[in-house]
Parts: sequence; structure tokens; C-alpha cells
Amino acid sequence: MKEETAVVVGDLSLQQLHDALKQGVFAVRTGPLLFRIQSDFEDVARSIHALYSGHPCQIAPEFSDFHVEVRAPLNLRRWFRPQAEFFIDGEPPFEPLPRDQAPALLEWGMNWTIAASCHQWFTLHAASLERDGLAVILPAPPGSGKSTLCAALALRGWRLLSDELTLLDPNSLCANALARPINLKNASIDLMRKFAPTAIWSPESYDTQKGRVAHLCPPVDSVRRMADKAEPRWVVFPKYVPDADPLLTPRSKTQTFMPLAENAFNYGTLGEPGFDAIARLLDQCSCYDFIYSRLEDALEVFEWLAATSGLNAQGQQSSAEAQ
Amino acid sequence: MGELPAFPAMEERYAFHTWPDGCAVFDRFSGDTHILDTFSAVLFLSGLQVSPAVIEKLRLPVISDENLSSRLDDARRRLEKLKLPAAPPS
Repeated sequence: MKEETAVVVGDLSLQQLHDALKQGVFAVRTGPLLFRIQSDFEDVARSIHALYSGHPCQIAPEFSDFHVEVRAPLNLRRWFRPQAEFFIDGEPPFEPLPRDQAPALLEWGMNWTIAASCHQWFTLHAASLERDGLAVILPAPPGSGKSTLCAALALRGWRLLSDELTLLDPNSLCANALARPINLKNASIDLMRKFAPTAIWSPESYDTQKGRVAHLCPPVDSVRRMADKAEPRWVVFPKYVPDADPLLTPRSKTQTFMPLAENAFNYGTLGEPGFDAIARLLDQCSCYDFIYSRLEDALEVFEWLAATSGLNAQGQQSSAEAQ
Repeated sequence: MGELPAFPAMEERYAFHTWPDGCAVFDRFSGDTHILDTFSAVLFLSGLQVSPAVIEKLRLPVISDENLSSRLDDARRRLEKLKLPAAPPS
């Protein structure tokens, strides 16, 4: 792969970034992917400048994986109520959203683009983090506290791979890092603002389909090391339960198969390689359910998990046979 | 007009992966995935005539003769419902 010039977004002034976005020549690297982004919106430029300050970027690259754009739609409604619309290669995959949600729409659109297009990886709807070269995968439905837990871990010694999309190489099963901003909602935003008062955030968007949302800037070290892959060792299904004591319960690998398949964006597309990827992933991982209410408790439990990394994952449940 | 694709032989049709408490099965013909408990897995894998060493990796419960018959009957019905092969009754 051609070595990129080591320019990061933070090297550009806001005005330079905004100009490059307006001209459609700005491209930012997030893990293995290069996104070329176009937008006239100043709040989109401000959000990228804040959230991607450490990410490598290029101006007018010869190649990029995706061309995306956020702009006002050309519909009648825009005269009455300003809107923003996301485009991938000139096509809008979603309905427009209120104009003030444009920065969040870009983030959601980029996630959608990866999930819908990148079938060279086995893509799980899951957060993932790394410690000592080993990855923990956190698949869970919305509202389970997955992103909050992911943010807390990323701010306390675990390297963020992704808060939303875990990209596994189907052969090696190594997890790629995207090091994208972490999407938090409603009370989680206030919780994390207290947890990490100096963290950098996007502006909040209100009245979205998810309620109040904001994006948390990924930690510097996670961005700096986003080319480093990690070997999955744990699959943990987190669930936030108010006032609950932390409880980590081993899961049957057989019974974890379908929840993982259901959390994969491209299990059906990949077919047997997807089946094989899950089977081997389960072989090499210890699987747990995790109930928590306090982040401090959760951090302790994950410290314990990291400390047990020397144990063989197959010690939990041994042996598997592939046909 | 081309011929219909040949129905794959039973041993080629399924990919499977076993753990002590069961088995995941991928049907290469339909694209379906099934999760089987230990009883269903034993019947299914026996039906495929896999190596005994594969079946021995399942953690099989100790169970009385009368309960065993009933559990195996349940497992056989389940496999029929899933349209998966099973070893014939002995």
C-alpha cells in the first residue's frame, strides 16, 4: 500500500478543512478505509475538525474507498424546514433529516456505508476494544449500554477499535480498528461528560430518532494505533440494569452462535465463510453475559478479564470440530 | 434449458461445528443455519456417519433408559421439523 503523507486533520485550519470539504477533495482515513467527504455545511466541518483531529487525511487522493456527501436536499420541503441529506456515490440511502442533525447524519451514514458495503470482512454490529493485542467484542442491541461501556473502557486503558462495527478478517479473524467517534445518547452523554470532563465532543443533536445524541472524540492513542489489528479473545453481551450489581456469567458457545449471526450485517451475504468465521471465533473466545449498573464496577470486571488473558479460551468449553 | 443443480450428497450438504453442549449446522443447499442440542446433535451427526470421535466431543448427560427414549424421540421430531437427517432408530 502506498504510504500516505502524515497529515492529520488537526494540521488543517478549520477554514482549510471547510474549503476542502466544499470542493469535495477532503478525505479522511478511519482504520483501513479512506472516506472522501463533501459538504458545504460549516457545522459538519467543525464536527470533523473536532472529532477527527488525529486522523490521517489527504487532499484530492487518487483513490478513496467511498465518496460521501452531506448537503441540503433539492426538495420543496427545504424551503419550509431546512434539511440535510446523506449521499454515497451520489445516491441517498436514507430520507433527509433536520438540518441541525447534519454532523450526526454524516457519522451514521459512514457507519451505514461500511456495514452495507464491506463484505471483505465479517461485520458484526458490536463494539470492540483491545488490550495487550487481544480484543473484546461487545455485541448488544440498542439500549443495552454497549456504547457507554465502550466509551468508559476506551477512556480507561482499553484501545478503541470501534463502538458500532466490528470488522473481522474472515480468515485470520483479526479485528480491524476504525477508531471512529463514539455515538452516545441521552443520559449516557451526561454520564460520560462527568466520567471524562476533558473529553472532546461533537455538538449535541436533539430530537433525533434516538433522542439526544452526541459523538465523543476517540482517544488519541486509539487513533494513532488504528492500523494495529487485534485477536478476539472475549465475546461479552453487556446489559445495563439500573442498580444492579455487576454479574459476569459464562455463556454456552452453542447458544452464542445465533446471537452473533443475528448481529452480523453480512452473515447471509457471506454464507458458509460467515458460518465458519463465527464457529472459529467462538472457539477462540470466552463468552459471557454481563449485567452492570456502575461504570466503576464494569471497569473492574474488565480488568479481571484482561488479567485472565493468559488462560486458554478453550478452558471454558473445550473442543470443536469443523467439517 | 440447463439442468437443475444436483442435490448435494448428504455428507457434502452440511457444514457443522460442535461444542460440548451442542452443534451448529450450515446447510450449503438452502443457506439455513441450525443450532442443535446434544441429543439432536448425536442423531444428526450419526445420520451423517461422522467419525465417532466427533460425537464423543459432545458432553452427553447420563440419563435413564426410559427418559433417553423420550428425549431421542423429541430430538428426532425436531430434526424432522428442521428437515435435517437423523440416524434411523436402532
